[in-house]
Amino acid sequence: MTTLTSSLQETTPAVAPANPGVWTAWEKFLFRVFSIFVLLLIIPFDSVWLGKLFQVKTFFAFLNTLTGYRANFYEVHTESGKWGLESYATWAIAFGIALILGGVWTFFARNSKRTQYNELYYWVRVIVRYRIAIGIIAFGFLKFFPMQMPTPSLSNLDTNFGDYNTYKIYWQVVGVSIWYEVVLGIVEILGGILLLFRQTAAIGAVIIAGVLYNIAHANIAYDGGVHVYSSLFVLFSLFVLVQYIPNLWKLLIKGEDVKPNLYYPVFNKKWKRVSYYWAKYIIIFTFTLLFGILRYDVHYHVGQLKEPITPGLKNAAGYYNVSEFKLNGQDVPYSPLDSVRWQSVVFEKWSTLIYKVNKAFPISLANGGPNPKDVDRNYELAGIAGGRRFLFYNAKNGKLILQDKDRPSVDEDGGSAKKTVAVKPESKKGKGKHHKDDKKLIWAYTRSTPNRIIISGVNEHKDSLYVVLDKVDKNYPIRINRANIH
Amino acid sequence: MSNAQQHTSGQSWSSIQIVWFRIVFVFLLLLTIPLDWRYYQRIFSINLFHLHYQDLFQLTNYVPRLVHISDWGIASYAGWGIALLVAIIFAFVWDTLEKDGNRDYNQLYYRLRVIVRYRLALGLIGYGVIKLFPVQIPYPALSDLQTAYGDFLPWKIYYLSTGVASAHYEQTLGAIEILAGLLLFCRRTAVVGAGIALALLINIVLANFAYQLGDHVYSLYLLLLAVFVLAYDTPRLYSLLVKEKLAIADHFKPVFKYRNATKWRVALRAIFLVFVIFYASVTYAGYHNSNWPYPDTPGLANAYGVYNVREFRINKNVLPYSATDTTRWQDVVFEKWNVLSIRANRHFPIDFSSPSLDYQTDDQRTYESKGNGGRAFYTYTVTDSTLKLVNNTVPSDVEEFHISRPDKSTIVLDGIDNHADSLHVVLDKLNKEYLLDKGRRKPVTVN
Repeated sequence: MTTLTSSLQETTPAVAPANPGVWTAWEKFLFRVFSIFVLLLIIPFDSVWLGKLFQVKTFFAFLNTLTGYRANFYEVHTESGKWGLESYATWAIAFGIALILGGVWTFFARNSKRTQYNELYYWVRVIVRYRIAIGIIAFGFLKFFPMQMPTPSLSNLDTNFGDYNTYKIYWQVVGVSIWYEVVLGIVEILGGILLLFRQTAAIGAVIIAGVLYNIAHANIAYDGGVHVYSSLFVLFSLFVLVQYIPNLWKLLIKGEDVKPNLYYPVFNKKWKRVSYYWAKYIIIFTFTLLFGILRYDVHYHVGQLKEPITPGLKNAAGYYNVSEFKLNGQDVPYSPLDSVRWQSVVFEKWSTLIYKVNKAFPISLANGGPNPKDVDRNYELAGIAGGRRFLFYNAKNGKLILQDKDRPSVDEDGGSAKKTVAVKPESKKGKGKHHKDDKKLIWAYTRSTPNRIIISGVNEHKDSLYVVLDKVDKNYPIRINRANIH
Repeated sequence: MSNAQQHTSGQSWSSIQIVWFRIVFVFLLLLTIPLDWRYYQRIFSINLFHLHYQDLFQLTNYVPRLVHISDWGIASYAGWGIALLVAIIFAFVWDTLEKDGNRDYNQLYYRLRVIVRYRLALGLIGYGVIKLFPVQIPYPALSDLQTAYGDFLPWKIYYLSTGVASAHYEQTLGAIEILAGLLLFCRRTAVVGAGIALALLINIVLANFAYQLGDHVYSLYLLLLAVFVLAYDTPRLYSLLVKEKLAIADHFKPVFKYRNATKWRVALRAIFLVFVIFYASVTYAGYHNSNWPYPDTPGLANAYGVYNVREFRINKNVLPYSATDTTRWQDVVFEKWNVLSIRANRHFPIDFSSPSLDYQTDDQRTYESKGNGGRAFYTYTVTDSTLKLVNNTVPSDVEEFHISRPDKSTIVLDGIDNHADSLHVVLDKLNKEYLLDKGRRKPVTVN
């Protein structure tokens, strides 16, 4: 009773097989079904995704797309299909197909003399382990070079908590502490790396199952939108763990000594051995070190980010009171109820100007993923309300050329083939129309003193504006270190 | 510590291992056993007829505080330093204290593990139950929704963010903590419980440091306990999973010299289990019947909402709407309970204390004002048409207003503020919709 060769006991992990090395009929059936199931979710059949994979412009984009394949056999177009149980339709379909194929396989194999699938099971596990590792390491680097959850921007700090969407709250709180985000990234990368080696695969799978369960549940709890993809890692990690469970049960719970006897392939030819190790270490090198270096490059040099990088007006970043507001030459006094008169203005350190009025705007419900162009980098407005209008600007010769940032765009996160825009462009009626010839506003600005900016120009309703802005120093309590309070 | 792990009974220990063990033994006991008379004072001061779950929670939450220098930084661990120092001294004088030189350290190690397991289980269940029945981190108050993100202290942001989760997220985390605790009660499953606890506690410790939640000492202590429990089984797990060699199971059998030891062990387990069930029931009842951590006293009838300050007169001077004026109120929130909060363009004194699960009577519950730097919070009482306000953070700030309500959505306040200025304030209820309530599942147009 100290050895255990077969380890596929998904239903009855506590019972050791009568004859180690020989699988029971049930074990064989379950192996067939579950192997087909996970492979259906791993092997990319999606022509759209494959098309995208080979259309990318950079080697990094190619790798990044490769790390993030999400099987998508069927999308249920209901609320639950995107956010609830029905969003797992692809899993259900894959499982149904696996059950059928597994049944057919079992039928045709009924007279087979084969006693076990040790070798096949091993290679399926390798595929699953590498799939988890590649995907999660890519996600880990997003946090390690902290860009998945940026630090809250000035305008976001000024936004009331109730004017946040839940998903933005979930991301923002991580962005509040950047080193915490980096540590979370390290844990994901570490778990992924452990899964690349057979000796540490079990520990890696435990870490990834735990971390990704938390992420999946949180995504459901906050409508984060990636609950299916994060659940996939939990599913795969559990698949990897199954073979260890009988031994762990015997050793820890039943208190028996265990000498593990797991199957590993033996490479009896030199060329097999050489090609195995080459393949292994090329994959590992590519998706850990090389991917990390490229991600670093993309983050700090190319600027593939969620936040804009063009610097804003020099020394202008800050919160401004609107001291004077003239509409068509008419002075409009400050009022929290006015839908035209600006209440406050924020200049970010990048080229975004945000003004606040008492007006309901359509809310950007996109994830605000990384984008190559500043005007499309919409993380700062994703899930943010409070009557704020976000304008991208280009400053030239005392003029600001401005564009509304709330425009449909495509997120590029983790190489997803689908658009992850929560609200499809057609549902934002009228918006799509002036997307092509984005209306641009041209305002003049003068800076009489370092803390004053005067803006004049014509707004989109052809009304002339004259606005005097005075900078206010805001010391936000969120930056207070309680250790310094006595 | 790691040297002294894999020993089945009968194996003898090297002298280095013994020294290490003694240090760990004394250190952990000093941090675990309540030597503090205040702990017992607390137990005996519990009013059994008005038992509150916070009383029970505090019992699970106790850590001896050997010394107190600072709540923050390395100095907050000063007590650990002292415990370690005492432990090291003890380890070397141990021989002179002990008459019997042939002590079986395996047995002593087992006893320490039992204490640590139970202590860890209690800590996990203590926190798990108040998450399962979410009284630790409630849904934000309306005043929170009307406060700028940057106006909160980081811990409050963390609490509010957790509080808005749906899909039983917080409750599930609580259930996992309880499960880990229950697994720790049994010797065979303790390793699984400790593993789950380790995963949870690593995250909790990190979050405590990242957001200054205030429990960094206690959570790190629990993490230490989880590591200690897990360390016992680490070598066999390493053999099984990493080296894939023969893994020796735990064949240790505890030996008890006393006749009734078995009975006592059963009784001890029963007491723990009864305590857990009792604590969970009392917490559930408290969660169900009370608004905790918010006050239970209802607020002014039909007043709940956000109000625009339409008119503001100070000493008969009308102050128009202004973003810069530091006196004029900007908006007012009436909570469902007897608290209102005011926003104005000035820095309000912030309550810097950490959230506390100590029992508080209604008027001492100030969770909503803690860590909020954007608003002034007042607990109010209404007698006839007099509204008396007491500032939650600055108790000397007491204001009294005559209140009238000309129609459903208007409240007029006349009175004297704490600077002896006379105020006349007209409040209009706003029909404010929050994006937070709208979600992202359908297109949203909202202010």
